[in-house]
Amino acid sequence: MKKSFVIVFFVMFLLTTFFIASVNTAEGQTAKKEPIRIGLIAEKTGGLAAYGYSHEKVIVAAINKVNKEGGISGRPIELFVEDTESKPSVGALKFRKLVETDKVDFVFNSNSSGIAIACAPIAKELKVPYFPCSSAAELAGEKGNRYVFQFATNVAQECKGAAEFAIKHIGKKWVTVVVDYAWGWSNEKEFTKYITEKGGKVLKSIRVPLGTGDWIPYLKGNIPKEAEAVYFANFGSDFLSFIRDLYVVRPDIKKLGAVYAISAQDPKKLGKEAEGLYCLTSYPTRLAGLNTQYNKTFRNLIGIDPEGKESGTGKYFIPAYNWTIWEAFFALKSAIEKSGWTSKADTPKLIQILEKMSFKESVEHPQGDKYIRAEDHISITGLYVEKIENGEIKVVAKIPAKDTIYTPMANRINESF
Amino acid sequence: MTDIKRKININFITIPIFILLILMGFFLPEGVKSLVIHIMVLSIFAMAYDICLGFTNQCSLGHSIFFGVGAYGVALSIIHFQTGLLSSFFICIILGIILGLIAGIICVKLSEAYFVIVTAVFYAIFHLSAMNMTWLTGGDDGLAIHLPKISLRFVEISLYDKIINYYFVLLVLIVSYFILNRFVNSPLGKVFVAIKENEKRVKFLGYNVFLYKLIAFVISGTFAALSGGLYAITLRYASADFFSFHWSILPVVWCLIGGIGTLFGPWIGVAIMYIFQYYISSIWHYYLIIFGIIILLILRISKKGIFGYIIGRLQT
Amino acid sequence: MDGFFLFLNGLIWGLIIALIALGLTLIFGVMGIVNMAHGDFYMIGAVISYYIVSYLNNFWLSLIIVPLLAILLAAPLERFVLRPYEGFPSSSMIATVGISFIIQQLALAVYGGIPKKIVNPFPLDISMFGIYYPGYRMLVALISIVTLLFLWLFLYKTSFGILIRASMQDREMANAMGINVNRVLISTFAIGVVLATIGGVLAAPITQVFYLMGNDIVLLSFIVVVIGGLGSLKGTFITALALCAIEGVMASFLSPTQARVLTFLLMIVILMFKPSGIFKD
Repeated sequence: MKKSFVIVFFVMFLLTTFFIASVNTAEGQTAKKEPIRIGLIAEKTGGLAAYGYSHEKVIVAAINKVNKEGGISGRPIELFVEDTESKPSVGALKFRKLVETDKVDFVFNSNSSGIAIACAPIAKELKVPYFPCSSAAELAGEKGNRYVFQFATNVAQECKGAAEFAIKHIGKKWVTVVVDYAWGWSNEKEFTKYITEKGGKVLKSIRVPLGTGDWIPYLKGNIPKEAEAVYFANFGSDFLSFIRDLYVVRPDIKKLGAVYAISAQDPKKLGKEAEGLYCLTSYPTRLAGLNTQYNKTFRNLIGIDPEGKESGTGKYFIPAYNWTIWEAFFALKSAIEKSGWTSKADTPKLIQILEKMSFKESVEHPQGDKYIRAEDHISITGLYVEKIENGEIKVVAKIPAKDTIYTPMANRINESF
Repeated sequence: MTDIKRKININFITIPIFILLILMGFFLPEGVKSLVIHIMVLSIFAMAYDICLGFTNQCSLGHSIFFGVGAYGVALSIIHFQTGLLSSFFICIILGIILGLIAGIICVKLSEAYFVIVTAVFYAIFHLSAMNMTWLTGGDDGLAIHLPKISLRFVEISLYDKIINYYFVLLVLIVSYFILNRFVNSPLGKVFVAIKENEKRVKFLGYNVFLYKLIAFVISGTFAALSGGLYAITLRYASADFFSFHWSILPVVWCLIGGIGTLFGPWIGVAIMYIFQYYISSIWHYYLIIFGIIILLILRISKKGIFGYIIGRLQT
Repeated sequence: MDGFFLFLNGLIWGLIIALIALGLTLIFGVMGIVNMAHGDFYMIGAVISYYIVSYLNNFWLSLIIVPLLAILLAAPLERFVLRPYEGFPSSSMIATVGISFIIQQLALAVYGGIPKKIVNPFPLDISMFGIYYPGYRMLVALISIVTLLFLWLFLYKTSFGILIRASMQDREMANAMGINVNRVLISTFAIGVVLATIGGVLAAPITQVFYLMGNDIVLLSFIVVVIGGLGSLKGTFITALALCAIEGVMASFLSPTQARVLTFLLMIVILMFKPSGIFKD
């Protein structure tokens, strides 16, 4: 029996040490000059590892700027970063860790809609304001709550704004071509809805599986003669195959792409198939598309070059989403200062102030003027329309914020805290 | 000539651990409590898998189907049928049994490598379908669950209370352990072990090996589904990701490094992995490299995992 | 005509999978290792070819450099890390899972988490049977077939190759006959890894180079190995081609997901009626 006693003792010893070690981790006292703790859940490994890298850099840059200028309400900001491993189950656990163990007061990020949807209810349960940078429209509906604030534009806003521009400047008779999964389906549904509302018509809806090399079978014979334009939702290598094969089938047809469709492309390599193509974006990847002093300063601070890659290393950033983290952070800063937030007890007051705030274009909000809609906590902001002309991407129009306003799917104004 | 092995009753380890866990519930800081809850839930899964691999030598690579079905059993019952928490639980157990029978009847009779592959094909089919049927499963985005309160005779308890959540999960763990321990120490369990050691001989002795392996598979699947349901409750979330390969291979990892055929050993595997993920990931997000090295080291020392090694030493 | 196009696509993927699966079958047959890291060797092949294209501007050099690097990686890996697990399927499966974790995270650290494309190294389209078929894919077919031919020659016509096949048939006999086990084990593992990396190099331009790309092909490779009949090289080859071609054809009128699910169901049905696989060597 002596051996088993040793083993039991050893196991108990292990457990006790780990228990003691954990008790010693951060116990946040709320003194006045205590730092404000902010958590970031980032995709540092896993399928979405491309996103976590830049998101972390952006929020670090924002925090550094603010700390240099004296912090928020005189308090320095401390950042805690956790890896979601691109999995909702891990993301949810790390969200809890940030709040329960690291004692953060606010959580930023995930680009993944799955992770954001998993974490949103936890944010409410733990009473922590949460700023995902996912553009999932469900977060503005039944899957969100009063603690969640979305700065990234969602498909409903984008399609509504797109439809307005499309009817005025491109044409009335459309065909939609989308990739065959949730993002594609949302684009198809929302664009059809809004173009129809505005007097246009979608003659055909085509869905193409992700990763299809040859689009001819999907396009040939499926685009009616009277169709004037195509609204498409795809990206990456799918986009390349799409424009190549669309040109074979209908070289004359006009094209309008959903947000993010051409973000990572090099316009010089696209050739004549892409000439005249329009594309939506919430934020132009290239500095030339939004050449304001504010934007220049912002881009310098986060360290990206005029082409949208990291200065010096040339690594990929995701400008289309990076701005949402930056602006969300500064929005929070404004809200803390305006509401006089000092600790968790003040959070309801902070939320009530934040959900009615508006922001002017500035270094803190380089994407443009915007305001938060109290009913569903989305940011109402404008979009940009880019066009490929002579092998270059130029911003040719701005879709005003008012064109993107759609009926909210939720009303959180009276939601209890 | 086989050595006569001393019968080891692992209760001498598990009972002190349970007492420790009961006490810890009062002292642990919030964050660690969440971690321990997480570990306890997945320990049920690991333990269930051990019945399959450790006790009847069936290396299934498809157990994520039970995990996912259990999770969705609970999620869909609560969301669409507004069932109470406990009833959803029972639904997911029933689903586990049914699925275990169906999958088992197809797979169990296959010989080793084919069993592994067909169970893997099962998981692939479930995973692909779940990702596709977003109207039902929410696909990769998943479904968030709002937990109903549990109403016992005089009182309503809510799992949103961390302490309640902790003891609820601990209770399920303890009950599951004692049920499985009973199985394993019963005449049924002895046949399992005999099958693991020498399947042909058991067949010659007149036992219906297929039936026993099927029973083990169904028990294993049922408790895996139970753990899936509990996981969905703990996370308040279910997603098609629960059917992925990740959840099929992890139980094997937990069992092999924790200790196969020991029922308790796999808990160690779970604990090591998640303690690593919780504490080391924020320091060095490539922690899986260390974990990979640990796997290699443990398996080098003993093919039976840590606890398997300990038990082996105690028996001689 | 798109059915035929997709059939050809399927066939060519089948050739790539055949390379990978044959590597897997050799490793399992001779060493008794269930190599869950096999997909990550495929990924390493693709990643190295990406670097070769970036720095040396020549894709075809990869076909020479990558196998050499693969041997340098495989030999010590087998000798010093994998040797203790050989012959133990479950342990080797989990040990290789551990190795997979390590390789994947290292790739993430060095190569990064962003999927990148390699420019088509042979952008000519070849006209055949009324359609334009990408020239690069035809080259893939050619190179795969040549590689398979070399493999066949080695395994069936050289004395060392016959030794390896003998070890596959019966490890203990081979051992008893005094064959240099060490050499056989290291060589077999090296060949298996080389096959996987070549598969990765060939696949790189037609898919994306991503540190997790190995996960996509592991399951399919294992299925091919088992259905082909464990230890049957011919069976593995035919199964790889058949399965991928069938899936390709089905993808012409179903979504790729549905095509894959149906292919898997078909496999289950096959195994229910022929439980020891289609081919027995």
